[in-house]
Amino acid sequence: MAHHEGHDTLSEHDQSHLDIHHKIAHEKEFKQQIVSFAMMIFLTMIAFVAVASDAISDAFTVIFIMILAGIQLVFQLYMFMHLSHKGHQYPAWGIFFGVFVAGTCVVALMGMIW
Amino acid sequence: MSAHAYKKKNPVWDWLTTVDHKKIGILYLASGAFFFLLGGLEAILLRVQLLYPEFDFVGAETFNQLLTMHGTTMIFLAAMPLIFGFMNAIVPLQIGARDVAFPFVNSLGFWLFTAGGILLNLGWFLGGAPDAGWTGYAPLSTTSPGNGVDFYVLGLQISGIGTLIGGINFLVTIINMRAPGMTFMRMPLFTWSSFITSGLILFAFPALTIGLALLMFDRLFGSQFFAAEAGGNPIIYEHLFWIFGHPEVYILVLPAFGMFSEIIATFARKRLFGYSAMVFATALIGFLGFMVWVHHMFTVGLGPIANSIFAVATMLIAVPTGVKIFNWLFTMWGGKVSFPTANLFAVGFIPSFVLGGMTGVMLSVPPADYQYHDSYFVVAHFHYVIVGGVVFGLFAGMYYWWPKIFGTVLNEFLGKLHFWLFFIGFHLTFFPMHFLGLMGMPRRVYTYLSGQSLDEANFAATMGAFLMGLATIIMVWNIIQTSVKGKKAGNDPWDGRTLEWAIASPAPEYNFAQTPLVRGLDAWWLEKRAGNKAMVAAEPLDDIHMPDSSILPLVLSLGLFIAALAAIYSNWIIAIGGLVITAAAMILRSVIDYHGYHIHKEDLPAEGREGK
Amino acid sequence: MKSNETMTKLPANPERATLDGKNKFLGFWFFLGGETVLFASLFGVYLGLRNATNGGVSANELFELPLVFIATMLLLTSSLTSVFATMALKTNHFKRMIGWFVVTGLLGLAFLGLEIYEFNHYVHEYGHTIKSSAWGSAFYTLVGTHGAHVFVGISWITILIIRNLRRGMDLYTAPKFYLFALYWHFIDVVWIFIFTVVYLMGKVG
Repeated sequence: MAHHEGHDTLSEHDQSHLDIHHKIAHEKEFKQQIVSFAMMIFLTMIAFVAVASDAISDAFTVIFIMILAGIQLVFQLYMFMHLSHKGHQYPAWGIFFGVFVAGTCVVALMGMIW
Repeated sequence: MSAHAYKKKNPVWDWLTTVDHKKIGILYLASGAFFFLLGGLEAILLRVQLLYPEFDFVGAETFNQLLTMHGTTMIFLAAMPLIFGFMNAIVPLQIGARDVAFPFVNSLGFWLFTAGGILLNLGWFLGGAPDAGWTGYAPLSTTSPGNGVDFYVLGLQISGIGTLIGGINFLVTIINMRAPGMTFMRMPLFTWSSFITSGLILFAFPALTIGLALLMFDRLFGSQFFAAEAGGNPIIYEHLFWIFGHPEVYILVLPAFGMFSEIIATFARKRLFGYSAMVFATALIGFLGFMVWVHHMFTVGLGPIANSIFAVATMLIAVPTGVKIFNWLFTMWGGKVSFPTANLFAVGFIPSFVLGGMTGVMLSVPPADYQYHDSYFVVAHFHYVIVGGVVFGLFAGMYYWWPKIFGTVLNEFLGKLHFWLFFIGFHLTFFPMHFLGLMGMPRRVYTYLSGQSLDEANFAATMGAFLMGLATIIMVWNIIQTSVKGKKAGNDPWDGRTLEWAIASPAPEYNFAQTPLVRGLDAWWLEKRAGNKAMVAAEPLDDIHMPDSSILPLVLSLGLFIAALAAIYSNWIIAIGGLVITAAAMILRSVIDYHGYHIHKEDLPAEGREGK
Repeated sequence: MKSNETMTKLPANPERATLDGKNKFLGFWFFLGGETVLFASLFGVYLGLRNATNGGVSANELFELPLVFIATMLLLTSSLTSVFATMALKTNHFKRMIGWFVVTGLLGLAFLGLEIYEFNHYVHEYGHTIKSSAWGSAFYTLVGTHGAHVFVGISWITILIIRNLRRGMDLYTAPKFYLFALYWHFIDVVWIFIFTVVYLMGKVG
């Protein structure tokens, strides 16, 4: 299992240049990534199930799966792409202004046509 | 590799492979000037066609091509590269940087733009230029016969990619490459406006890319995006075009605003009035620029709610713009104002642009817009903002920064002649168009009937166009004369305020032998007032790292050019061949190490070692 | 994979340790901001045209959820492996990083294979093409643009791996790998919205 192998190599070879805080932070991040991934798989499954089942109304399903996609977006940006880490202020500006313009585009193209 | 080995290069090869932002700036300026003259020639032909009622000079078909190409050329192939030229030549110097963040990407941006511009104009020689208007509205553009519109779509697509990566380069340059002490709120206004403009490019151009891509798919691959009979929707194209198109207006005019802010302050010999308000107004205009595009589509019929929201947002833009106008006036008030050509253009801009702004507010009222729409009133309006704003800015910037870019001073007498002829010609051409529009003359129509009181104003407009043409010829003569035997410029001919005037004219390839320490707004002015002959250095004299030059940007652009040209004629084998060239150039760029080289400190000329 | 794996000391964030790396890092994020608008335009077009079936086959009849679900799992997993690679990059484990990037690329390849199968299926079984209707045009353009991004990503990482297999990791190379990882996550984000907006909403109707 990759996790174990990684763990061993880390403790044997990296102590020379990875101080202990760095190592702890790294292991913590590793766990967070696994949890994020599990959450994303879970959210995806819920979205598919919500669509496949007839139990909930269509209008609600659309809103529900869009919210799920939004949560996944946050997971990707903040966990996998490290947007919350230090030195990411300008990237955050770039991506969020992009999201703002993107939202405007989508609203215009689906709502303001006849 | 030493600097000397580098300098022995063949000059042609050097210009083709350069990654020096100052040389790329000159390349942008030269190609922009070429397209500006071309677009101006097209404009004069248009005006000759409209000289008399029912005049037969070029005829309807050519008129449509000329008006399409005039608009497209002036916006995309003249104004954009000229602005990028000034940004390249000046912004790194103003922030005390040795280079831009991505020298390679910068050069790629230039060559892509050039490839696109040439492709766009090839239509003239290959069966007819684009004829669907610079907006290329579907279904007019999707059903236009011949290949003209294909040249429009692919040419703009390629040059658009170049512009986009150029914008990213300047965003990162301004954020990451500023000299020590050059905080955001100490940046000169031209740098600020270039920064905001680059941001607008980044977020606006992708919408155009998609609009053009869909147009291309409809024309080349038979997709149905804009074909109403198959469920398509042409309004989608209008949205995409103007989501890009309105920010584009600010992409053009904000750098011009930045130039005026520098020039007016320099020649008033006063600090810019309301610096932080100017910065805020620039950012606000940039932001609001994304929320107003529907005012180009009031007559589409999107309903009263959409129209009202966008009308209010449009009117709102007048507020930060007004702040800027007042700040320029207050900068001059109480200053020791002198009027060399650069400042004449800057001061001439203010009333001209205000007129364009006023008609802009008139047009932002939807019920009134139903009357003005597609009439010469609109033509008058946007020429007042684009010529009165952008072109005046480019001319002002040219006279102001020519010494720094080329090391010589443009002739002031010819410059003033240029200004007065252009200024009078400009108002003579476009002021009567307001009334032509109000009297109901539609734009984009190749002729008009006599006896409708349209004759005199049209005649006057054409005379004005001739005056502007004459002024441009004088400008070209001035440039030629100055290039041949121009007066050498000192490092600081205008007693400037910002960092670019602290170094030699023209700037050496490494810009600053030692990175300067910036101690306040108008950094160079501060040092001069403190009695210093040079900027204080922020680092000891050391070897200077320079980027490697490369032919790959040209090859990459050539590949895309070939691919696009072949695609227009549906020759897919050659098209794929072109893309393979492009891909190969990209792979080479990725695989080869570019570590650059060093200019040794011993090789720096003595005067370059400021601060010893 | 024990002894030669760790290399000369690299700082904690090797992708941003040099000015060149900082520039690339920031420039690439801005590029992704632009890509966001690019894909949003395509999403907007798709949403505007999603009922324009021109009397042909509709989304509800066309899409098969199991296929989309498998594709989604492949791409989500590749995002995780790409994160593992980035973490190996930051802790100086070159071979492990290459290993995870190879897995990432293979998962991407599998995803691309499914997409090609899917398009082929639609064209030949249902006669649903880019020409059939405005909705067809929008569908193929949106999903196809994403597929093209996946293809570019696979080519990119292949070249990077071949280039650096022998020379190992240094501060010049680290940003290149890091940017690829960012790109790959971005592609994943786009897919999350494609499976939600195109496929799931298509099934809801």
